[in-house]
Amino acid sequence: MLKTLQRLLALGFLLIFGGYHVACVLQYRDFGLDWRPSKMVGTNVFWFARWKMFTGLSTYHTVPDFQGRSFDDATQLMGDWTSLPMAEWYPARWESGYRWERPAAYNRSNVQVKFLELACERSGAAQVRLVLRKWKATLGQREQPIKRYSEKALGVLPCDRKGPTAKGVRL
Amino acid sequence: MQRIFPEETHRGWGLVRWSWVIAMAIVWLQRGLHFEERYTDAGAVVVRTYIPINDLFYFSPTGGWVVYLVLLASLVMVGLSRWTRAFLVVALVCHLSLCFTEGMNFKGYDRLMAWQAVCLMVAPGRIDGKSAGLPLARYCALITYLGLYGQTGWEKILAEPTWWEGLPLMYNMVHRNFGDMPLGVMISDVEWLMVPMAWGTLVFEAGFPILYWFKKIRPWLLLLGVGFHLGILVLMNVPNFTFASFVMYPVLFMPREYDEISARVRGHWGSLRQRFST
Repeated sequence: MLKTLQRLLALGFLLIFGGYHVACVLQYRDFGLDWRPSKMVGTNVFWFARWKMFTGLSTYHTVPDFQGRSFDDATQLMGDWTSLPMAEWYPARWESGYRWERPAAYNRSNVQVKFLELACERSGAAQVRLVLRKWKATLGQREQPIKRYSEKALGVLPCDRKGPTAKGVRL
Repeated sequence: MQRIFPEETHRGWGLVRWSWVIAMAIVWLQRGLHFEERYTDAGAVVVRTYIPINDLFYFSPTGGWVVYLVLLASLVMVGLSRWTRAFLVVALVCHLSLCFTEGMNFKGYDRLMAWQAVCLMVAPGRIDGKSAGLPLARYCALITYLGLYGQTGWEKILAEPTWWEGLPLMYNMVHRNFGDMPLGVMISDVEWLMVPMAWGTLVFEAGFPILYWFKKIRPWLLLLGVGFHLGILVLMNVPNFTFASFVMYPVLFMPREYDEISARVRGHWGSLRQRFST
C-alpha cells in the first residue's frame, strides 16, 4: 500500500517535471526588446528548461565602449567624448565577457542605464554614453584587430539623472 | 505502475552526487573573485530581468557574502552526505538567489546544475548509490538531458541552415569570449575538419533523444557525448558547461550497464596500477 502511494507520488512528480520541460520546448519565445516582466504570467515563465546553445551564426565581433565627457569651465562647453576604463573599474568577467557586454545589457535601456550610472559614479563625468563597435571576425587567427568597424551610439545619460531602481529589500 | 517504477539500485548516484558538488564548487569558487561587483549592490543592480526578483530583494555586500558562504558550506555537507537532502535545498536556494539577483549571467550550466539538484533531491536513499529505490531521479535526469541535447540540436537544424556548412561552429571558435582557445582558433578556417565536426554536432545533439533508446547504441552514444564535451573543453572557452554536463552521465546508463562499465574501468585501472608497480 505504501509502495503504491510512493509510486503514485513519483508519477505525479514526474508528470509535473516532464510537463514543465515539454512546455519549455513548445511555448518559449525569444524575449523581444519590448519584453517586460508584466508579461511573465504569459509564456515567458517557460524558459528555465529551454536550451539553445551556440545556435546562431554571428560573423561579427561586437564590443560596447563607455565614454564620458566633462563640462569645461573655461570654454563653458562640453569636452570631447573619451573612453572610460570600465574593464578596469568593473573587472568581473563571465564566458560571455563583462556584464555590460551582454546584448541583454546594451539592448535594453532599463538595464543599460544601470551601467551608465556606474560609469557616471566612477568617472565623475557630466555625461556618459554607450557606443557599440562592430567589426568582421577573421577565421584562423587569434588577433582580431578592430578594422573597418561600424559604430552606433546607444544611450546617453546626464550624470545628474538616475534610472529606475530595484524596489526590493536590501539584505 | 510497478513496470514504470521498478525498484532499482543504481550505483552511479554516489558519483553523481560528488560530481555535482565538484561542478558547483568549480563554478562558485571562480565567482568568489569580484563577488561584490557581480552579486551585490557594489555593482549594478539591474531591474526588470527575466524574473524581477530584485523587486523583492537584492544583496548588500555583507548579505551577499553570507549567502555565498552558506552555499559553499552546503556543498561541503552534500559532499560529506550529511543531511544531504536538506543541504541540497539550501544550496539550490542560495544558487538561484544569487543567479536571479545578478540578473544578467544566468548561464545554461547554472540552470542545468539547478535541475541536477532537483534530480538529486529525489534520488534514492542517502544518494550514495547503495540504496534501492524508485528510478524517479534517473527519469528526471533523462528528461533533462533529452531536452538539453534535443532542443539545441533541433534548433540548429531548423533555425540555422548554415550549420550544415559549418559556419556557426567556425565563427564560434574565434568568438572573443566563448572561443579564442589556441587549438580552436587554429582549426577555425580548416573547412574539411570543421564541416564534419559541425555535422557530428548536429547528429549527436539532434539524434540523442532518438538514439538513446537503442540498447546497443546507448553506451556508444554516451561515450560519444563524453568525447563531445571534452572537445568543447579543449576547443572553446566554456569549461564550466563541460563540468556541469558530465555530472549526470553515470545515471544516464541503465543500472546494469553502469555496473558493467565501472567493473571494466576498475579492471583496467587495476591492471594499469599493477603494471606500473612492478
